Amino acid sequence: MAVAERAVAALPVRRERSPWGDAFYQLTRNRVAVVSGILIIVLVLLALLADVISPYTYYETRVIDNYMRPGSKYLLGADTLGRDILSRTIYGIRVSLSVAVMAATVSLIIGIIYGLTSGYFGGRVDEVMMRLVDFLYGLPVIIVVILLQVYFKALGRRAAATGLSALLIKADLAMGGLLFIFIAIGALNWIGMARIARGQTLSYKEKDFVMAARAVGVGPIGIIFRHLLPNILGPCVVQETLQIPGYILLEAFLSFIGLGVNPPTPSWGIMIQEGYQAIRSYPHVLLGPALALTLTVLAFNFLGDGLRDAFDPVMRGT
Amino acid sequence: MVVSLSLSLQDPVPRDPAGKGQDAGGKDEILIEVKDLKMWFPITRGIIIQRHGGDIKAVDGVSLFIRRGETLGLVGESGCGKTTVGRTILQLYRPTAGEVLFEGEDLTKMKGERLRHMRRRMQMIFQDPYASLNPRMTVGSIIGEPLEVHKLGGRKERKERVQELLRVVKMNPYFVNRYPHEFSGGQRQRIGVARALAVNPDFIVCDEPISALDVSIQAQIINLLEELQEEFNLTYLFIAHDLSVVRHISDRVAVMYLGKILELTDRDELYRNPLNPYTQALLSAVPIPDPLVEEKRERIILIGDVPSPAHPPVGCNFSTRCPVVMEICKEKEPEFKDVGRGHWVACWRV
Repeated sequence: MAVAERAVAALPVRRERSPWGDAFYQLTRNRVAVVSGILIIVLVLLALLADVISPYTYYETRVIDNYMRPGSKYLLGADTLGRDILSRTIYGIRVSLSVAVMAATVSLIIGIIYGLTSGYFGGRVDEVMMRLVDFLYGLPVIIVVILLQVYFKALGRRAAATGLSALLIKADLAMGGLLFIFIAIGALNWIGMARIARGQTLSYKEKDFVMAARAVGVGPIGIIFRHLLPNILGPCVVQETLQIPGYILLEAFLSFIGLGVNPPTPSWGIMIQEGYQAIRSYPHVLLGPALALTLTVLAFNFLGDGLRDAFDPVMRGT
Repeated sequence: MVVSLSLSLQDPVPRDPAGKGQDAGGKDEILIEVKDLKMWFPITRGIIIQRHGGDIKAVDGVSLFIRRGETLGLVGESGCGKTTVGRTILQLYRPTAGEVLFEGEDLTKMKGERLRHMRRRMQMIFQDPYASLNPRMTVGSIIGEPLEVHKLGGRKERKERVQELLRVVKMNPYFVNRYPHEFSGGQRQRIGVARALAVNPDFIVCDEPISALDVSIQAQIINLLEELQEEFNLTYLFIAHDLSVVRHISDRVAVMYLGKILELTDRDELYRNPLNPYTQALLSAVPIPDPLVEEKRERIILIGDVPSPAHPPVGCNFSTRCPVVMEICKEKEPEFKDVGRGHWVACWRV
């Protein structure tokens, strides 16, 4: 035994790769996902540096330049009010990305808390919590979001608001109408996440390592945070990434039908709506926002797929 | 094995409040006593308002005792309630009825902090080494978790202790930063053993610790368990379905069928003189590693399936499949009684 032990002890001590590190390594080997990731990083940088990079502001209007074709003055042309489309597209990244981040974060947090609680406690608690989710699942998401936005818009026009609603309205105005979009989109989108988190919790809480932890004397808090959460987080994050394109499209759709951000806040949805009115004579107006929207949605989709493959090799290629 | 595990961590609570020294009691001191243990899992029907629609009688009146330092083998076919007995003794399931006495103290009545404290003295080794280690934790934090939970030692002491434990189970102490997926089944099982040993328990439930392992690895783990028992005076409840392994490791053996113990006696007595027809059938199924004897081996083949534990038969549980069944077996349950020299059996034929 002494010889064997010395032989093993002589092995070089190497830095170990954690399951997270392993997943990241898998991700870097997926070319499409890496390109998508880089594109998203570029988008984030553009959004942060919009004030420095964009040649004009998003609200400056020069009526004599209306519908000017792409050229040296305006790289992507100008819109109906003579605003630079390139600048508005760059500022539009802010809207789309903040919707993506906020909606995903809110849905992830609420969904995991809800699903984990429901799955861990089980029994009657689970029954009641999941029936509520089933009920919410039955509601048509788009219609509920539209109704909420209509309600919020009406609320904003009424001057007599007091207390909390006045505060919300003020905050929403300051954010160009984004706050209410976060709330409307976040209101329903956590339910899918809650179901996934619950399912994962149910499967992990029956594992022997949870039983072992209980045998050792670990309490419920320790089991939830140390044994369940780290295991369910991966699949939940992956699933949430796959939802992001949906959030971006939903915001664009709301803005397109006039229930989104307040003008002149540049959302790609509003810009597409303006462009499509002049599509026969001035198709260039549509080009910038439409291309940006398509690329962004595709990038998030591919990154999500890559993440799923990296975290769950069994699902690869499906 | 020369590595000695010094019990270096200070123990804030004295281990033997009754003053029964580990050696003073010797082999005759009873560590665990189980009295008429029942674990019924309710079957519920309905949404939100749940109606009680019967019970799965996984364990239905089990009584046994385990002496300090001995190994009690618990055998039986799949689904007979062996695992449930182990988990119920450790209070991982709270029993429906019955008592579990640990040094005379009833665990079933303990709650909260007191029970948590008792958990230091009884641990478990699991069947599936792939499911019993959290894949997101390093080996060091898996083995160190019990120490952390019971606040044993400081950070540095714990780290040393973890490395020491790895050495005890004959693994490289440098493995502390690795993750479970980097190990083979046998190595993972050793990690599981190290985790169970971390808090210096007196009693370990080994729930089929080798049935998921390769045959060549099985022997290593069995030998390790035996060495550890010798070194730390451990008491085992060894759950298995492999009769040869049980024969090798146990001092006494209990045979379970459908939630009840049918026979319990010394190992040699059981293998030489099985009294219950079920035990006889089980033993007749063990192959004998001698072709001449093996040829003459007569198997008692049981007909039919094990009845559902939700609806156990009236009378003796084994009466539906027993080759020598009598009228009384189908009417009254036989008493589980000592027929001499600690040979306990439940059968009307005896």
